[in-house]
Amino acid sequence: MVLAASSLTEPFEQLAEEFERRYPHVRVRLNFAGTQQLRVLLEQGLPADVVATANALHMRALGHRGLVSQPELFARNRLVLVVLRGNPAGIGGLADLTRPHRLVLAASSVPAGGYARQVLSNLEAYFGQDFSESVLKNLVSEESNVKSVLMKVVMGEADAGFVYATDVVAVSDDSLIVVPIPTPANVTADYYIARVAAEANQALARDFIDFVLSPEGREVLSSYGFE
Amino acid sequence: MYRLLAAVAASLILIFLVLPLVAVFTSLQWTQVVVNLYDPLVFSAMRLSLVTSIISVAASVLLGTPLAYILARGHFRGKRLVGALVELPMVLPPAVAGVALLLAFGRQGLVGRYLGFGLSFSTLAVILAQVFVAAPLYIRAARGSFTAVDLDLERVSLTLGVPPSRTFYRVTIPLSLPGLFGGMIMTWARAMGEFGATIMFAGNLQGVTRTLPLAIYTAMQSDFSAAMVMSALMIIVSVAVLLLARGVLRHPEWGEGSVAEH
Repeated sequence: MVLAASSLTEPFEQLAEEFERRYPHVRVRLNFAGTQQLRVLLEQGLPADVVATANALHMRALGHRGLVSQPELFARNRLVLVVLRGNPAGIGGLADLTRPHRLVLAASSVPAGGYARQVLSNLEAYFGQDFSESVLKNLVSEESNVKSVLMKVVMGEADAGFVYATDVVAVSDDSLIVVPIPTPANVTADYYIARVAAEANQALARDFIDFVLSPEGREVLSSYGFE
Repeated sequence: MYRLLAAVAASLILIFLVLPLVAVFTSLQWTQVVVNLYDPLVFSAMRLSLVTSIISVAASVLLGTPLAYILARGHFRGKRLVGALVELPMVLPPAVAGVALLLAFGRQGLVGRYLGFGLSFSTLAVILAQVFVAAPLYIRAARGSFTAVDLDLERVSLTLGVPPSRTFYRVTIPLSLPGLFGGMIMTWARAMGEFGATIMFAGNLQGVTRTLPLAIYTAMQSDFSAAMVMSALMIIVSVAVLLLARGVLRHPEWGEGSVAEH
């Protein structure tokens, strides 16, 4: 059983498939959710073998409780702004976000939501002191994972939202405009992978993590836009 | 032997049904309860849930009573179809209700497209989701109570020269009252508990769309003790609702209404 952050959905599905090809007797069960949810699941004693998180914070917290062993950094990600093409609010770029519109973010406890708020305050260096505050006035919903932020914009319910660069690689939808964030204002999402300390399949968990860290594993990750 | 097996089966299911609820209370630390009840997250969710669910019940009663009466007394083609359609939302999975509401009232939806704006992400959307899933409970109960009213009593009233509208208010409604009340209480409980359609259609924002069930879900991801306190709160509310419903239906003047067991 592999628990992974929502943003890892596509590459991990492929990685699991290739892992199963190498170990024909093994079935990899994947469970995707917001990292904060994965943490709660493990803290409540869900049996799992491997966990992959979208930030260091939640992994550290799991480590402190002795629930995981030897977390390793395996991928990096960045944030982008997605905007609904032809949205009624006329949002086209970052500077427009102070105008009234429907902005959707992940909740602050979700890594992507924390990063988005960090980016907004970083952007104050470009757009002025109260940028973050006036943008957040347009917030209409706090989603429980980054994929539902994207869905709200793809479905046309929201005008804009912050998601990972890798999320938009997975959907090729021309209803979206992807607006890059200037590198100095952007954040780097660090993805950590670790064995769950209490599980029985220690060796197999190690094999899976080694596979993710291997050149083939990295190639899969980078084909989905991870750094 | 069979009696023993039956007793074992009965106790197993009873324990299974009650144990998780007990667990919520045994895990609570009472100091947390006091702290969390003053937490703006908990408080605003509680207020939003109360306000929206009461509006939803009112809307269900105002709009649902005439339909229930028509279904109980009317004779028209397609009555069975209408009856089935009305009850459909009751058996739909909440996620389906959420998708359906988005496709109807979302910004790109069937109706939303022509409105020029979507209803999603608003408190109104919360109420729509609640009415969608809960109104059928009221309509069903009201229809049952109207059907159970003795037609002869209405006829007597009418032959005594009481106009139909007055007969409805003075005879039909009072006789159906226990059933109507029972329906309202079930509708209210369902509206309070609505989660799936709300989070999909209305979104999740404190003070606007984050009702108690959504607040519990959100708190689960960061503040587990707040989630427990709110769960305990909802269990207490549910027990109170159940007792109230039983009390109303056992009212001596109203008797054990035949619709009471719906």
